[in-house]
Amino acid sequence: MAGWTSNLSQWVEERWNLRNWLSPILDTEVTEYKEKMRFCWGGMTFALIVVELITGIFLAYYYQPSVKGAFQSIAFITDQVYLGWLVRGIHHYASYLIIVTVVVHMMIVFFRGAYKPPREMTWVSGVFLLLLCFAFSFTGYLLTWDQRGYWATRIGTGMASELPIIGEYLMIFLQGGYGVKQPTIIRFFISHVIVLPLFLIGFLLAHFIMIRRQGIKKPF
Amino acid sequence: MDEKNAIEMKNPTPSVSRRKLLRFIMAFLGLFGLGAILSSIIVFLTPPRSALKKVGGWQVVGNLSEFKESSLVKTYFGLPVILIKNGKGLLSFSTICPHLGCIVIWDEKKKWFICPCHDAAFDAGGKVLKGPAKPYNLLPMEIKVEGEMIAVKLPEDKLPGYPSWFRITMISGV
Repeated sequence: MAGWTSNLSQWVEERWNLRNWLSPILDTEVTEYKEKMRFCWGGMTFALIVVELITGIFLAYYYQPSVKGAFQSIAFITDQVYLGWLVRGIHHYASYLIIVTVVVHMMIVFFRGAYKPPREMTWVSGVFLLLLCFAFSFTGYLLTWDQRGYWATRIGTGMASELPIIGEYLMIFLQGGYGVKQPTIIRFFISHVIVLPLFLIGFLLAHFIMIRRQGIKKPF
Repeated sequence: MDEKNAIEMKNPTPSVSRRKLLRFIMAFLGLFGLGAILSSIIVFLTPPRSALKKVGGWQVVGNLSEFKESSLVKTYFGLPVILIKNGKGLLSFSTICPHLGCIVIWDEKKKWFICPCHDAAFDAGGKVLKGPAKPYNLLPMEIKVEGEMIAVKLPEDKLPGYPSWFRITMISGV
């Protein structure tokens, strides 16, 4: 190792003694069965989630959550902002890929029986993460405020209205009014960029802590 | 020792049950507090009454002079409403497709309303002909003509037989 990096790490070590503190994370042995492709799908999902968080933060610098501004600001991001098309494209296609990796991850966990006790709560937290992914997709779809997003939202909230007893209330609650209008954009935007990410981080932490404590299920 | 035994003799069921009761009360208070916070969040996020403006009742949509031709005429206005004139006179329908809420358009060649989303079709009388909108017809609207003005009555509340999203969308003004 070059001189300055060891100096730096020594400087950090002298002050905060991080190596000891982080050793449960850094020194965990990666066993052979973990190197196979079928154990990678959860990690790939997480990597894509990180990509979504980073590109999403960049998009939020230009996006305007309003009836007049939404579509125009997205056109502005795509056509005017330097590399805007790239950031938006990554955010868009990574969201599709997440659904793919999540489904593959869940199928592998299911068919290996890895959801069984003592790991059942890891599975339950994973189901909440799946529902969060759907909520992200649903709220993000409207934000472009194009024909597809608008009608998809009309259909989604219409589905909610068909629930017995609470249906109509739920539709008005989701839309922020009788129609899909300005209040709906604000609702979906704040959910998409603040509320859902907070829940996502919480459930991811729970998911990862449980995996660390219990280890990955050994092959049959 | 003797003293302690004496105390225990006086209280045959010692503090355990009291502790249980206190624990129960604490749990109840905790749940109550949690419920108070959660219900406040839901109440806060519920759109207030003043934000729920219904578009309903009689709306002036056009002028008789626009319907001079005797043949079928369709006209769009800033409302989810279409006006039709045929041999029998003026008719009006909601343009909201009762399948999933897209806006139907009039096809002059085929003489029917067609929904661009899933290909539902309705005849000039609003009756469903084909597609996934079955069994719902286009919602007919009441028409009133005063002088030259044509007014259409948008439904204000219950629409028996139609799904609830349809009713909410009708009063949203689209």
